[in-house]
Amino acid sequence: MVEFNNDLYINRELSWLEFNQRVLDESNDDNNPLLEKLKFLSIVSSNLDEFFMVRVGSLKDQINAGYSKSDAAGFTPKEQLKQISLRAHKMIEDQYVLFEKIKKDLSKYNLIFPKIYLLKTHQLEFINKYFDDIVYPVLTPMAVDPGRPFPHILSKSLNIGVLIKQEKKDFHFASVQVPSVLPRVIKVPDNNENGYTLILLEDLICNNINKLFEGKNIICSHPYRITRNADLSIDEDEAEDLLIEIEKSLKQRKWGESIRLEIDSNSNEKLVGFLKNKLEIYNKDIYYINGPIDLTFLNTIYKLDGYDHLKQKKYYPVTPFDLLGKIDIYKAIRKKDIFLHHPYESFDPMVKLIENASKDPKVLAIKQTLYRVSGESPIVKSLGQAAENGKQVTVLVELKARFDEENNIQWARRLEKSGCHVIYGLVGLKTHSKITLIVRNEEDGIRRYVHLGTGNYNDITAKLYTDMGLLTCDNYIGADASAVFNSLSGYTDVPKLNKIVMAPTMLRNKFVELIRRESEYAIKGKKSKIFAKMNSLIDTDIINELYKASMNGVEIDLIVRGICGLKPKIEGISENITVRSIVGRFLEHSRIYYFYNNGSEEIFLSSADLMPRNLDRRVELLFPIEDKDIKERIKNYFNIIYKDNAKTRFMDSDGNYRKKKSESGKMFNSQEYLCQLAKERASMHRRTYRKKFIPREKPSN
Amino acid sequence: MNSEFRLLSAIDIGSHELRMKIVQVNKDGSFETLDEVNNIIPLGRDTFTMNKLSFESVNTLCEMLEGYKQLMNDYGVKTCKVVATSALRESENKDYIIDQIKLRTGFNVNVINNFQEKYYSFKMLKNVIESNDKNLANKNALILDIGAGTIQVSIYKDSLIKTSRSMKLGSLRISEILSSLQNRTLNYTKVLEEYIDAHIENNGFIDIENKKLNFFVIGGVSDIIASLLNAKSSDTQLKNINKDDFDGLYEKLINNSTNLISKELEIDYEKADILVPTLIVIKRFFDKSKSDTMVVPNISLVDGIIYYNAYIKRRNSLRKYTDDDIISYTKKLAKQFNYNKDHSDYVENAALHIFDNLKNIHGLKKERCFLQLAAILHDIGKFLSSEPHYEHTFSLIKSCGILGMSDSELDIIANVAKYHSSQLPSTEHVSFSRLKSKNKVMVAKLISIIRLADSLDTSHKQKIRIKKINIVKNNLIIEGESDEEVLLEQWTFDSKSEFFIEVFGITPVLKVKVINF
Repeated sequence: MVEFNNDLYINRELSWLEFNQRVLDESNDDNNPLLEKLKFLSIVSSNLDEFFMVRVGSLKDQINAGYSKSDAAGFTPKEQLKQISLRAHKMIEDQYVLFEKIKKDLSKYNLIFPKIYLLKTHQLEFINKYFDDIVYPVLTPMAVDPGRPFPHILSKSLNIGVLIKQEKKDFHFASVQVPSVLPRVIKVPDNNENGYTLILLEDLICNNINKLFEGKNIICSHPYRITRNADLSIDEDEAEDLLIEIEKSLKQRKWGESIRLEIDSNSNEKLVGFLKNKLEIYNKDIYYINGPIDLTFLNTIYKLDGYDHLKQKKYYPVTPFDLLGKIDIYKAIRKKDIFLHHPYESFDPMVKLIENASKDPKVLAIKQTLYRVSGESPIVKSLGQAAENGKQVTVLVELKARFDEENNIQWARRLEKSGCHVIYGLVGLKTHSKITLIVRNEEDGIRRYVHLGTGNYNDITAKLYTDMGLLTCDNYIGADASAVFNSLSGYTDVPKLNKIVMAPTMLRNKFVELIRRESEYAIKGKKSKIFAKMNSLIDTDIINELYKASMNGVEIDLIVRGICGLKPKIEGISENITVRSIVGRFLEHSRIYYFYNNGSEEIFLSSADLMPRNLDRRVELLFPIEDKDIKERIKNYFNIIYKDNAKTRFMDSDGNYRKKKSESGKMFNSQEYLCQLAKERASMHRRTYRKKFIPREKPSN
Repeated sequence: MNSEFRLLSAIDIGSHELRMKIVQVNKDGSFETLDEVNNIIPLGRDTFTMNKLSFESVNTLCEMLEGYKQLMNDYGVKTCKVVATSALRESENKDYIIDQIKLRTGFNVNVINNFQEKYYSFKMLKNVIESNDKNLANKNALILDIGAGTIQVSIYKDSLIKTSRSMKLGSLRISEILSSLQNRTLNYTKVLEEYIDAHIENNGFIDIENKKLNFFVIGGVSDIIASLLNAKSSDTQLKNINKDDFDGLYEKLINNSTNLISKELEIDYEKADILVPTLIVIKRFFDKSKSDTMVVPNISLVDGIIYYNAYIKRRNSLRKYTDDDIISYTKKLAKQFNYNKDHSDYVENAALHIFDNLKNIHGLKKERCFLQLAAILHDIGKFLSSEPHYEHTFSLIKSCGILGMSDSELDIIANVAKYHSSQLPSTEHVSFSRLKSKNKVMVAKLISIIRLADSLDTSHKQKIRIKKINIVKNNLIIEGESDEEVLLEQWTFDSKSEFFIEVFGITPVLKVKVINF
């Protein structure tokens, strides 16, 4: 038995930061249009926000609880926080350097962000009037003195810290929240028809800060922002009603401890010291920002009219190949399994399937798990209507989907009112599986139609995330789907499943079994291969299984978009493993697991990543792809991905990611290629379709 | 609903778990399971120790049943057979509980006895064996059906059930009764073994066979045992377990605590708790069967109920309500009491002959089987003493039970058998007055028929060969032939006719042609 030491693993948080770095690198890739680069900067910021709130928050919780066990990579929570701080500081520094660079490039296209003092007189008049009429009335300055304690600063809100000169004391502190009800970006009138002159709200307020503290001597005013711990821990065992408990903790989230302070890098030391003191924040958690704090506002700039030429051409998902020319979707499914590949292929068929089912007199029941749905989800609407039409509708709503809780509670209540049988998740487990079951009463018997997917039933993200779905009426999968819902509804204790594998009960063992089977073939000197694509790989047991398989000679190619705790290409350990990550215009999201199995190849799709939370604390599903054509398509998909050299980065044995230069110098972008392929197939079909159905003209005599 | 198929569901409120199955019965008679759910609710824990069910248990039960109802709606199933076994049957407050369930969920619960329970599962088992392994079907077998409350041991021979006995050795019952001893001894297993051995001591009927028997185990946690041993299945429904493998598992687990078993084998605590008693029971009968493999068919009571309602019930009605297994079982029972086979066969045939010819007059159908069974058993009381043998017949039938018969059906059969002889039914007799009033008339009709049939063989020599039975005006005319003089029969016939006249208003007339006299 080989002892696997700490060096063989990468810490989860640091690996995630490297993923965010890869996103940031997209802002520096000259193959990306300028505004796309800008958008990646915004994504980096919002990613970091969530990371601090949840991951850093959770580590702080661990420290507060006195937990000091180290992770697989050998870091204690304290050490992890230290490393995170170092890495994040560097990343944010890089981010703002890139922001300056992109800003400069944008000015070439008449998109300018001038300092206020550089504005012309008429422009100054405009913004000052805007301040007086619009901004001033909604500002609430809050001073801090012995009679007035330090105010509660909302997490992630932008604020302006002001130091006011005092006669006896050193200074007085006051804080003004930058109102979130007003647009952060203000368009300043200019003579330039093909461009924009933009200033930021916080700069406008700072510029007019005297008006708020009339007669006072202001030392300085600088924007700052704090992030609070939002790791939501609910005592589920004692929670009688999960719904109420989550509502309660949502309120608590606003009051979590401060875990990060972002402040203007030009800030006065005294201001920083004061805030640090009052917020009880460590030096390493202070981030001096050389530019505007919170770059998520760049998304609004991305959306400005008239700059389509600086963006990637919009892609419109096309009808799925398997459904081209099919009018009756049920008939199509009965004939053969249907494969859906989003966002290349449209998610609309799923939306329509549920919509039609809600009205179809043959449909008896619809059951679905919902994790994250879009704001005005057409699927949720259809489910409500189905219940009103007398269908039996069972919906499992995962209330614990992070940061969607509030949204989820609302529409779950609506569904309940319209007569759906709503299950609010399971105690102790998050239901992450994506499964839909439609029970139909057909001429020759009851038939079950099942959709299984790797992504959420969310019509918005289905246009941005790469996901796969399967529509089938296979009897075994149908029975399994029923069993899964029965166990989620509490009708049955342990579901007996034929083809589907379910976490938390069986999935981990299944993965181990599948990996070991490849090992056995490798030991016998037979060909053995594992391809796996996922978002995260951090489960130590699975990583060890993969190491062992590699040592036995199994060829393993991993496509891990985000966190990866495994190190490839280590001599004697993981020589046969490659790890690559794709960060492109679409968020890679599908989870695919391929096993060579001595020639009888097996392909599975899943909602699960290889993380302990997916395998042990969530309800996840793994389902086989059995249709030959679909298998071929997925195998071909791997080949397309392996050809990618535009957005693929390889991980080396030290955990660093690098792009590989192609020998021919030609760039191959798999996501773009797949867009092209889907479009071509759809238009080819349109052509043949026309060819078939154009009636001949009446022959003239 | 379409006529191409129908949907059927069954719920078993067992002593240890609640189970429902929904099936689609296709036009060709084939079955497809649409859904199957089960939840562990150890109701037996209440009943076997406190003799009644607690309100908490009833609450949980009703909540689960409401969920099952929702599931039925998902498929649009309208028909559901709900049965309950020992835990409810033996509960003092069962009537209130049945009423509660009816009020809260709308389900009508049918409390069935052991003989019905095992009949259903046996029919299913037979179906599974015959459709899976013809080879197995032709061999003799020992069938052990382990419930949570009771076990049933049956001998199967020539495709028919020969004999069957139930014992209150259900795994949950044992563990519940003896649980208080668990902390008082270091050798709990020995206590278990002694208890079980004491209860299966008198089972000579198995040894009579003295041959190698196939060994089948249904229910209990037999499926867990099968999966623990990675039992190979020749198909999806029959799993085989090797004797050596079983003995290995037995040795390994027998002295372990529930906690340890549950942890090591990663099985539910509730199931682990009844594993050891189950193993002991299986071991005892496995040894007796002398078989080297044990077959675990993947069936349960709900399968049996569905199979019965979808298939057997209709088939039996086509066969004049004669069920071969019940008849075979009943004859074996009669044989155990040294019955006069020739006489019994004669009375059985004569009674059915009369019954069939009176169809339009008595208006009875499925009751034919009660008459048949009563005719087979009518004289078994003579095993104890000749006078009053009919009283003994009554109590023997009541205490032995008949495969597939409910308690009230057993009452009917016992009454019909009892009044075949001199005594006439009277409301002053406890046995007769206990019958439901709607059944009294029916029983009287059957009695009047069995009395005639019995009188035709008063001498126990089967002298009269019945040639023709028909109704002419107000007479039931029975024509027969005989090689001997039939004075005794004629005389008895006339005197036993009185009750028949009273019941039907028709006068029976016996015309016997004596040949070669």
